Amino acid sequence: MRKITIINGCSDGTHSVFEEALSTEIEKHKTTLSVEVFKLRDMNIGYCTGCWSCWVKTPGLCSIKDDMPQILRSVEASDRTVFLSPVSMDFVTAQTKKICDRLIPLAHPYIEVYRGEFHHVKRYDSYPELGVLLIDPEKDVERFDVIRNVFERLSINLKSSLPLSMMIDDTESEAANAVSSL
Amino acid sequence: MQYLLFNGSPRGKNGNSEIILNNLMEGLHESPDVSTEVIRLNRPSSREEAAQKIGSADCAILVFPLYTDAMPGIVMDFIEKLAPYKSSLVPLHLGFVVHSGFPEGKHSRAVEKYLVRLTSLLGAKYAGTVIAAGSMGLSAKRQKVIRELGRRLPAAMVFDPDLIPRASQFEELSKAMILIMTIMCKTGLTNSFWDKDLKKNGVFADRFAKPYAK
Repeated sequence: MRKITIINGCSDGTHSVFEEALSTEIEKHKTTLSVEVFKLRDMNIGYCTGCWSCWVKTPGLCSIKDDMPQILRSVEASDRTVFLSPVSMDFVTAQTKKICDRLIPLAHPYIEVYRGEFHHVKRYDSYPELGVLLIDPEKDVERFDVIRNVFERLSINLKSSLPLSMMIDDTESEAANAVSSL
Repeated sequence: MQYLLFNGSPRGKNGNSEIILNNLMEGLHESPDVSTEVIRLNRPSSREEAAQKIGSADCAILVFPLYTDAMPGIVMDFIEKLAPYKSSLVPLHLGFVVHSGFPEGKHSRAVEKYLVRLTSLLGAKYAGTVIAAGSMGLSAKRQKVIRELGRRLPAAMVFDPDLIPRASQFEELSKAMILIMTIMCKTGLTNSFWDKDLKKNGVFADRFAKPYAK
């Protein structure tokens, strides 16, 4: 069964109706999709401190003792990892960005030329496809392009791709669209 | 003129952001009537402080390392604390220095586009973004460029656009460099920087460990 990891970066309960509708929709697809949702605001996860322990002291292992290892295992086991975030100051939330930073134990410090650019060497054999679902009731296309561009870059760095990127509003009907896009 | 300099590195004082910041300050202080204050954003309380003080500055410069193709999480946390000031930082000039371990400027262009948007969201004037790619080896020559950027900043409170490109080594790899670097990477020549520490820490043999695999 296809495995999906959802990183829910909603910082507060503003979109809780949507979040519940999303859970209901995921439940409807449980025979075809195995979805794991991480609600970051209920988890204890610190910011990356840039210590490089995961690169040079304990290869592949983050030195911060918090809830992040569950996410790292889930991301690594998933076919697709999707970042769900409301627009915050024209970007994704700090909660969401924090998780991107904390993915670096999955990469290797060595660099190589990949698609004509320097990128990190793979640590794992494969990485999930990435997706971004941006909650933006205003559906501002220019703003979205800036955010999507960052996640496209991130997908290149993880030797992966970004097959899913869309803006959604936080209505219940949109939750169904979101889940069918997974 | 009051300049606020934000160090957005999670490593605080112990990193390349601080080196860049010190060079900028040195240049700035060659002008009379310049006062500077540095706030390091690696503590939650300092991010609050920085958000409270930004409105009182004439010019604010945010220096940060590129983390997974954008700003570090702590910098985004600081940016979220600026939400009450949307459209209201009207007289402020806001500039950025983004530095990356990757030697090409290209990696920082995605976040640069965001920084332009952020400045306009706050209603501030854009002082420009300096991309200092290849910050793991910030040569004396490039540090001099950064000092000069600081020295010229007070004139119009924007980074001199003619000088900005000199803070980076190159935008992207040329065809010849792709060929050379591909060979160098394959032979492992580019790994020595990391191998030194991996060996010192006694974990060289485990360097490809996969602790989060199923």
